[in-house]
Amino acid sequence: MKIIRAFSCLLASASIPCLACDGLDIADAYVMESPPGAGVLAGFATLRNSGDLPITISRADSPDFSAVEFHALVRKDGLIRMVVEGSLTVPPHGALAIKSGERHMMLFKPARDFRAGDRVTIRLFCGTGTRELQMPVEKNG
Amino acid sequence: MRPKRVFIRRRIVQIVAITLVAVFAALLGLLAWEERARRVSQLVSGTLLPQARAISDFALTGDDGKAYTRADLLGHWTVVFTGYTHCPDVCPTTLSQLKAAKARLGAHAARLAVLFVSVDPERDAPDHLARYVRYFDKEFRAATAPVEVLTALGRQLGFVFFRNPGPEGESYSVDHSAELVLIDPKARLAGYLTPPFYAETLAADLKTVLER
Ligand SMILES: [Cu+2]
Repeated sequence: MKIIRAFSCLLASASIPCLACDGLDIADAYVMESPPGAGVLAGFATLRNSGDLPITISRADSPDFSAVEFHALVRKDGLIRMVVEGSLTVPPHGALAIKSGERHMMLFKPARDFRAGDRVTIRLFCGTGTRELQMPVEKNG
Repeated sequence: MRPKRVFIRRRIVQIVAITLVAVFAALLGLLAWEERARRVSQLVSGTLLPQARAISDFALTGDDGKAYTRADLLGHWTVVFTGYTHCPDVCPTTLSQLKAAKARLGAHAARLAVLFVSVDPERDAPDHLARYVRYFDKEFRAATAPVEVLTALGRQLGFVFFRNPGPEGESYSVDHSAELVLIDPKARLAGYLTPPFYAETLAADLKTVLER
């Protein structure tokens, strides 16, 4: 399987980055505990790419939420705005921080109230592959 | 010889006059700069208005379902944060920081009220707001109102918000001001605290305000 993936990466031309979750490392993943009844939660993580090609995460989903989106926070003219990012790209031998105040995984309509200590499952789609994440729910601060 | 002497004397008077004017201007500039530095340095991350501004009456709906008006601002300092509950990062983070800052104020905390004004009345019903803010602190209060009422209050307090439709239409977000509004015990707009917020500096600034 690994060989097939590596082969498909070799076939990819320079302009189309190899799309697979190989080389993707995820650290410090957590979901911020929110008040009971919260309609949305935010997930955070640091994504690292140990490979030579960029890794693009095209979308995400979860059995615990109705939908998952990637959001960036933009501050302009004294206003804060959440902007949907269609995909996330982790540069080769680089990292992408999904961190509070900058970016989050927007987790819509939780199936139930999640408390600190619970775990939620998030699936990241990287083109040919997927990566399942178990994210602990943690209290803020 | 005479005309030349007069010329020299006139020249000296001119130079002295110019020098005096320059020194005077420099002194004035220095004073203005010091005054400005003094005012700005009062808060680590925010500004106090040179003159607190009166707020005219308004009527929001409090998290208990009852009216929340200008009268509710009297007798204590109030820090107002505008946001909405479908805001999963900035809003809970700011409310957590306010709680942490309040904990550092000791006895001063009793003279400070925290008010969360939801700019999303469509989704944030009073009872939902009550559960939301009480999660952070039993003493935090929330209020909301129809958009027109919020817009009018925003004009008075200096906050703005815009509904920002999401791609699906149903899951819209609301762009909102990030500043915290400071209101004095006479229900006057006193100033603003500006992000990024940290519990330590927030506490220091709130203490400065409460000790005024
Ligand atoms: Cu978001």
